[in-house]
Parts: sequence; C-alpha cells; structure tokens
Amino acid sequence: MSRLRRLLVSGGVIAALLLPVAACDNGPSTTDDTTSPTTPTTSPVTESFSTQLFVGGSASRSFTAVKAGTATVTLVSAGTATTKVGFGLGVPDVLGSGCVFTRSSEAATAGTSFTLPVDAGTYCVRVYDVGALTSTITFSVTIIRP
Amino acid sequence: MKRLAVFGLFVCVAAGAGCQSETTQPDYSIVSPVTETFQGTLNQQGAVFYSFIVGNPDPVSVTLASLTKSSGTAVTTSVRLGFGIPAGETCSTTTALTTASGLQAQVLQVASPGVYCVIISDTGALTEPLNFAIKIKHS
Repeated sequence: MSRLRRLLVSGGVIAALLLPVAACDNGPSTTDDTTSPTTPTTSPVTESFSTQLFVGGSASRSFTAVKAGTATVTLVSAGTATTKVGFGLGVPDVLGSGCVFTRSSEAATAGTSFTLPVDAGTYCVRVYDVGALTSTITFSVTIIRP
Repeated sequence: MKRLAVFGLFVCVAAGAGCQSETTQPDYSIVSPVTETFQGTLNQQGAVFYSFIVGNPDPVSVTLASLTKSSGTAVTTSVRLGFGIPAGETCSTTTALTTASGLQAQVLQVASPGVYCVIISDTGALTEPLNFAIKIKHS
C-alpha cells in the first residue's frame, strides 16, 4: 500500500511539473514554425468579359482595382467589324443596377479602348445597344486593372 | 489520504498559476473607411451639395467619377468641385477646383471629426443638365 502511495505521489509530482507547461498556449513553437512562401500579387491583372448582347439590351461588369494605377478597358470584338455599340468605363450606379460612365462612346467598334488613372476601388464597364442592332451579337471586353 | 488531497490541491493550483493571463484590449486605431456616392443632376448655372459626417481624423478623398448627358453618354465638361463645411443652405468651401470627371480623387483633404460637404457647380460650361456621380471616401 505504501508502495502504491509512493507511486501516486511520484506521478503527482511529474504531473505538477508538466501541467503548467501543457496548459499554456504561448503561440506557435519557434522550432517547428514553417513560413509559407508569399506569392507576390501580380499587377496589372487582365480580365476578360464575353457574353451576348440582345437588341435593346445592355451588359455590365464590375471589377476591383486593388491599388492605384492605370485601368484600360478594350472592346475586343462586338458582332462584325462595323457593328456599333455603346461602350463605357465608370463606376457602379448606386441609384440603379448599371454603370455610370466616366468615359464612353455611343459608336464603339472592335478596338475601342479607354485608359484612365484610377484609385483603388470598384469600377465597371458596360456594353449596350444604341439602337443599331438588328440581332443578338456576341462581344468580348478585356479589362486591365492594377 | 489527507496528504493526497492536499497534494492534489497543490497540483491544481500549480497548473493554474503556470499561465499568465492575457487580456485583450479593444483596438480603436483601425477604422474602416466608407465610400459614399452622391448622385444627382446639375443644371445650367446650378449648384448641388451633399453633407456627410467624418468620424475620424483621416484623409477624405472626393472623386467626381461621372458626368453624363441624360442619355447616359459621358462628357468631359469641366465643372467646379468643392469641399468644405455646411453653411446654412450652401457649402462653404475650403478647397475647390475646376475639373472634368475622372477615377482618381480630385480632392484629398485631412479632416477632423465633424460635418463636411462637397459641392458641384456649373462654371458656365454646361449647355444642358448633366447627371453626376461623386464618390466620397472617409472614415
């Protein structure tokens, strides 16, 4: 019985020494702290936006500039080479669901482009029928943003 | 058995005393800036202003982001854009400039907490009413 008691006491001493250490969380250990390599954010970033434009319709897309820099939006294609559409760059319309323009053209054809210095923030592009479409077309826009 | 109970109590106290309690104080230094958008119509020879509250002494940026005809087409007409303090039924400007629309802040001002305003007005260049959108970023 006294042997069992000694054993219990010894176990208690060990537990008393180990418990405070085990109960503390002092953050990551310095010995096995692994640092993953940081992937640098590439800038500028190019995004593409391609969809159909219906007669009398419009299509817009918002994008985020993560820092200040230069944004360029280009109407890469829109129906045939001579198809004219409305195309612009601006900011989301808080009174509606579209995009209010900073720069725009009502006679944009493939190749029409706008470049502006921008602050970090949310911007948008919109392509719309100005009344010239007689059938649905497919268009493509590239957005280069910081 | 009594000694064992006392020893057990010692173990529990030692385990608890081994940790330093860390108290986390709330961090008031980081306040997310907000962006308000002021949209409306500017008439010929007209002026429109908008008031807003700055809660922290951080920079306020004002961007005339859009100026369009009623059809929605953008124009590059220059207008007067000002930043200041509301005074009665107008905005008493401390900073003002003539500018076209752009996507970089035209006005950047450090402001103490308080009520401020932005005003847009025609310099005489408008030939028709124009719709505008002004972005105001502040804390």
